[in-house]
Amino acid sequence: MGDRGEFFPCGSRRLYGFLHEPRATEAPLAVAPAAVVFVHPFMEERQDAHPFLRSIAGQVSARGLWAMRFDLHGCGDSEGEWEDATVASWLDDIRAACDFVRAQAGVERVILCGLRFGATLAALADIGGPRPPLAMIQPVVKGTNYSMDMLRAYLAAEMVLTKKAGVTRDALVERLRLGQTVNVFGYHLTAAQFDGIRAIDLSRTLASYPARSLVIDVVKTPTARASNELTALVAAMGPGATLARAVEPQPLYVEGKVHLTRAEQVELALLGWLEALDQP
Amino acid sequence: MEKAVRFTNEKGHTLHGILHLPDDPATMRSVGMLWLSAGQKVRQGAWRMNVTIARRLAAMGIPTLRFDYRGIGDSEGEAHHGEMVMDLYGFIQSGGFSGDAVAAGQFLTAETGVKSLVLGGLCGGAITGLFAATALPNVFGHVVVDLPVTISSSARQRYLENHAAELLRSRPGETDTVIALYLKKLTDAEAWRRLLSGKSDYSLLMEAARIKSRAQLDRVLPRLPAQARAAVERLLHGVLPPVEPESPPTPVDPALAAQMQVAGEVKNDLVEEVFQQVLSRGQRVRFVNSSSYHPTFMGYFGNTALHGNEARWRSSGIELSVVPETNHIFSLEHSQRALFEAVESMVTQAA
Repeated sequence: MGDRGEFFPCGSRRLYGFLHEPRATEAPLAVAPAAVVFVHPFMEERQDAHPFLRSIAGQVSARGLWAMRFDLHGCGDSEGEWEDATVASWLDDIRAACDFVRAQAGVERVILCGLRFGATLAALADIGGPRPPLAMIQPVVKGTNYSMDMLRAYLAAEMVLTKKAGVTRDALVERLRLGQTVNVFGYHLTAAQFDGIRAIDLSRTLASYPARSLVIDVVKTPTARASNELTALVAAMGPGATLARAVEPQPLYVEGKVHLTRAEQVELALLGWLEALDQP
Repeated sequence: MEKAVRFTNEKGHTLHGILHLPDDPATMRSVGMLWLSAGQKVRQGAWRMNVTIARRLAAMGIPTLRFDYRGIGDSEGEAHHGEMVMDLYGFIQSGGFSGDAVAAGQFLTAETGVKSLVLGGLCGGAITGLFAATALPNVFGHVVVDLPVTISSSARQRYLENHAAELLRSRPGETDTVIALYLKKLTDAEAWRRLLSGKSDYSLLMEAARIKSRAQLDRVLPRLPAQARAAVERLLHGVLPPVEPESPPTPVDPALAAQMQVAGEVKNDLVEEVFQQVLSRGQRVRFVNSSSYHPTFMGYFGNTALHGNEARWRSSGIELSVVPETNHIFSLEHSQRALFEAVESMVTQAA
């Protein structure tokens, strides 16, 4: 059937996914048949990361594995509104996507790969069976920091438009407590989302992760310092975790000046890890 | 109901999109909306704007198609049209994706059986719609949101990168943001390390500070006697030069046009040309501008193409609204509402 976009069920709603069938255009990876499911980053990061995730998925399928990108509840083309989604519903979506790709591809083994908060959700998802191999590209480790970044985005947008900061972060948190939403670049962040995100701390949740895992630290220059947070995360995850470093000229989730559609170092790190996945 | 669809453009590339249909087929109207992506962004648009608009229209009985242009999002085709993102903008601003939009309009018409189309989009989507409308026989009208009226290029981008002063003089409203960003760095150890190792470039901060100081000076100077004012100006010449206005004077004066050419950006004459073609075909045009973009629109297009005469616009089927306190992506609640109203008003007219 070839590469295709289609809706698939997740409870009472439908999610949009794009399947990349395995192609024999490159030397196949020496790994047992599997499907790699990609979880996108959030809000505007999803838009800017799209070409990179598309390219990575294409590379994986060119090396003989199934790959699937999909949109979480209230994101991208999937059904539902952003403000109705929660961390729990997003985790359900990942399970549904894995079930769908298993049925479509006829493979049982699923490998999860995510970028930013998509990586965080991939790490938390229960997709049935033992914990899957997990690749995380610049994961959000601490939800407290990420949630504050979202509020900061609101304040920055307001400042650019009105030339002054009208409210404080505390006032925004208070708004959420009162049941209102906070507009983060057009997305209406809810209290349930805010609290769900704040509760996440991967360094605790992923301690002694039982399957193989990869954390990719994306840096701008070869001499850039490694992320302390990601280094600590990998140490906490135990001996099955690998920390890789990818030097990319621009961030993968922010619009850059140069028109890039591939993150070659990230692709190399992921493909290299997949190649070694079944080796002792 | 939403359907994943695909169709081919004139080059044979498969383009992917989502067709939004009314849940009850009996309520389907005879008008379809082709809502076009801005260009570099994928078919959902900023804050899923395109999804929300399409869903609202489908609920009104208006089938709506949104899709990815060639090489963008899920669609096939070459993505690169130059090295820099600005070059892609220039490609779009000169009608580079109009063939895809024509293919999409034909697909939407054939798939749903609608008799006429409304084309709409933000920025690159708006201009792509105008270009495509000259090759589609059944266009009723357009919703044109923040229509780009200049041509972007990497030449301009490189020029501005190398001329921080020019950058901020052309956009003095951004000085507060620049200063705030640098202030934030005071608590960043990495920023201090870069400063001490001589790797930081603080020219932008210096320019922002100069522009802020000049603004303060401009408040005081008018209170001084003319002679003292001239003396102060002489004294500060070269240190605090006058700040250029944030938006071009209207209509565009030749000196500013020449300056823009040096910077690599010029007025896009194609816009007026294609706009006149659209009008000559009897198509209606509803312009919606964000307050932040409106001065540029008027300076490089509105004051000449629309002749500044509202009665005349309206008699030609043209409407123009400006949404106050609004950024280019219309992300705030009041601007989202204004955008929805403008789109829905046009399709209501068409239906």
